Amino acid sequence: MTRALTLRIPFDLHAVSLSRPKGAPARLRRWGATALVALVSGLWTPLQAQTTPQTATVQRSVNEWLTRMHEASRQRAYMGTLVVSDGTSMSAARIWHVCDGVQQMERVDTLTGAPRTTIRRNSDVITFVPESKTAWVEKRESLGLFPELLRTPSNAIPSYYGVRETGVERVAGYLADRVEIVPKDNLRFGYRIWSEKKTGLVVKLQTLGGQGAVLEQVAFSELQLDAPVRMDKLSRLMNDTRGYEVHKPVLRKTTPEAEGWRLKDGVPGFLPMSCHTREDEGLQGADVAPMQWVFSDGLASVSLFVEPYDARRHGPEKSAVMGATHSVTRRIGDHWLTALGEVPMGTLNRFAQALERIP
Amino acid sequence: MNAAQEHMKPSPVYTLAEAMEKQQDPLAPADAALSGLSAMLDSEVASEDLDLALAAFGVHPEGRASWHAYQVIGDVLRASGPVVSGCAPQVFLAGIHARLQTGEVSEAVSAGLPEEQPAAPLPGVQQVRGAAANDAVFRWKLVAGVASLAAVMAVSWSVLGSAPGGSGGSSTAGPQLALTSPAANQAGGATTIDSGRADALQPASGAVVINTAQGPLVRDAQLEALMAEHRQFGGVSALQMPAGFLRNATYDAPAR
Repeated sequence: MTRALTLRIPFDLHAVSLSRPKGAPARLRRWGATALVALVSGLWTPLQAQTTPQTATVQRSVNEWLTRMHEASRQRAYMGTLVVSDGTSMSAARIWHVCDGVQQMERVDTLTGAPRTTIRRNSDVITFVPESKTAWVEKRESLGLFPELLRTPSNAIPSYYGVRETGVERVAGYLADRVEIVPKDNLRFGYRIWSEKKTGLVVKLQTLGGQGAVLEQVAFSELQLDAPVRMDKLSRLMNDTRGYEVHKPVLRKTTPEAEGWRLKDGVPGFLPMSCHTREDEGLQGADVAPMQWVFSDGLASVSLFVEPYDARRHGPEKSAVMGATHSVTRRIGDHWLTALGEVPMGTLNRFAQALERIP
Repeated sequence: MNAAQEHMKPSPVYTLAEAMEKQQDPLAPADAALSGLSAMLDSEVASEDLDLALAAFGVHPEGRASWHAYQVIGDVLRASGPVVSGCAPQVFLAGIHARLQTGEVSEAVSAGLPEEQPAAPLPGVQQVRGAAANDAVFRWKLVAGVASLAAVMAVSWSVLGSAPGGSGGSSTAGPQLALTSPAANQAGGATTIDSGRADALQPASGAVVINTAQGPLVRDAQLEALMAEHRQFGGVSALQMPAGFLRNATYDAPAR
C-alpha cells in the first residue's frame, strides 16, 4: 500500500507538469506538488544517514518501552503538527498538549477534511464541529486504563510481542530511538515506533502488516517540546459551548451474557475489555444501537458490533480494509455482526466464527 | 483606471450641459404654473402664488420631473453638496434606454460625479466600467485562451486516469476500501478488486462506489460510523495515550 502511494505521487506530478503551461498559476501548482512529494518522501524514506548502530546501552523490555512512551506524554507540554497516513489518504492536525502533573489536556485542530476541534481533559473529550455548530461530549475510559494494565499480571503484551531497537533517526527535528514491536504470531500487527531520545515521546508510529508493509503511519512533521501551552486557556475553550448544540451520547454498560452472546473459543491474547450499547438520540428511526464488545491484547483492539439483521441495511457478508483497520461482517441468525479492529483479517474471522448466540 | 481619470476632467462641463439639454424637453411645455415651481425653488414665490404652484405640481405629469430637474440644476450650479436624485426609476431607465439606442454612452458624465455617491445617478446617465487597460493587447487574450485550454486538459487527464480500466495508471494503485467475498477471506487476507471489475461491483444498500485515482472506493456510511465508534470507544491500547488518541482525532472520519 505504501509502495503504491510513493509510486503514484511522482506520476501525478508528471501529469501536472505535462498539461500545464508555463504561467504563474502553473508554477504555483508545480511547487505545491513538489512540496507534497517532499513531505511524503520525508515521511517515508528513513533518514539513513542518521542511523547509527545500537551502542552497548541497556536494552529495555517491551513493557519498559511502553511505560516510557506513556509517561513521556503525561509529563510534557508540546505543540506540533501531526500527519496521519493510511496509505492512500493523508490527514493532518495541529496538536497542543499540556500537563500539570495531575491532569493533562490536549487540543487537536484538524487541518484536513471538515474543520473539527477536539479538546480532552484526562478522559473527558469534547469535539466541536463548527460547520454544523454541534459539539459532542464523551468520556473515553480507555484513556485511563494504562499504564495500570501494563503493571497488572494480566498484562500479556510480552507474551505476544517482542521488542527490537533498530537505531536512532531524526524525526521532526529530534533524534529518536527507533523501536520495533514485533508480534510473535500472525494474529496481530507489528509496530515501528520512533521515541524521542531524551523524553521518550512518540514522534512517529507505523503499523506494520505482513512482510513489514506499512499499513498506516502517524508522525509529527513539526514539533515544539516544552511549548508554552496554557491549560487555563484550553479549559476556557473546552467549556465555551455557546452557540453550539451539545450532544452527549450515553453509553449503557452491559455484559455479552445479558445481551445473549458468548465466544465459543477465545482468540489468543485478546481479552474482553468492555461491553456497552449506546443510547443515542442521533440514531435514525427505530434503529437499535448495536452492542459493542471490545477486546484488546494490550496494543491492538477489536470491536464486535452486534445488531438485529435488517435486509434493507445489511447486504451480503463482506470485508473491508482501511489503512490498518480491517473489518468483517457476518450474519448470525437474526443478527448482524461487524467485527473491526487494527488486526489482520484472519483474527477478525476467528472472532466472527467464535461468536455465538447463547441458546 | 488611467483611462477613466482622463475622461473625468471635462466632466463638470458635460454634466451641466447635458443635464440642461436633457431637461429642455420637460421645460418646453412649461406654462406659468410650472415656472411657479422654479420660483418656489428659488424662494421667490409669493404666498398667494404658492397654492397655484403646488396645484400645478399635482396636476402636471411633468411636474415631478421638472422639480427634480430644477434641483439638479441648482445643485450643479452651486456645486457644493452631492447631486440629489429623486427621479422615479422608470424615468431613469427610460433615459438609459434612450441613450443606449442612440449609442451614446456618457461615461464621462458619470465619472464626473462625486465619488462618495456613485449610486445616485443623473437622469439618463449611465455608469459604465471602462475597458481593461490590456483589452486591446491580443497577446493577453492568447495567454488566457491557452491557460483555459490547459485547465481543461488537466481536468480531463485526471478524469480519464481515474476511470475504471483507464490508461491513467490506476492499475498501480490499490483501492482504499477493498471489498472481498467471504470465500476470499477464508483463503487468507484481503484481496483487492481490480479496476476492471469495478463496474460489476454490487455493494450493499447504503454503500456508494466512487471511482477514484486509487481505484473504486466504497463509502459505506454504516461501516464508517462503526469505525468511528471503534476509534472512540474501542481504542484500548497501551499506545492510545501517546499516539492513538491523537491519530483518531486527526483522522478525516465523518463526524458520526
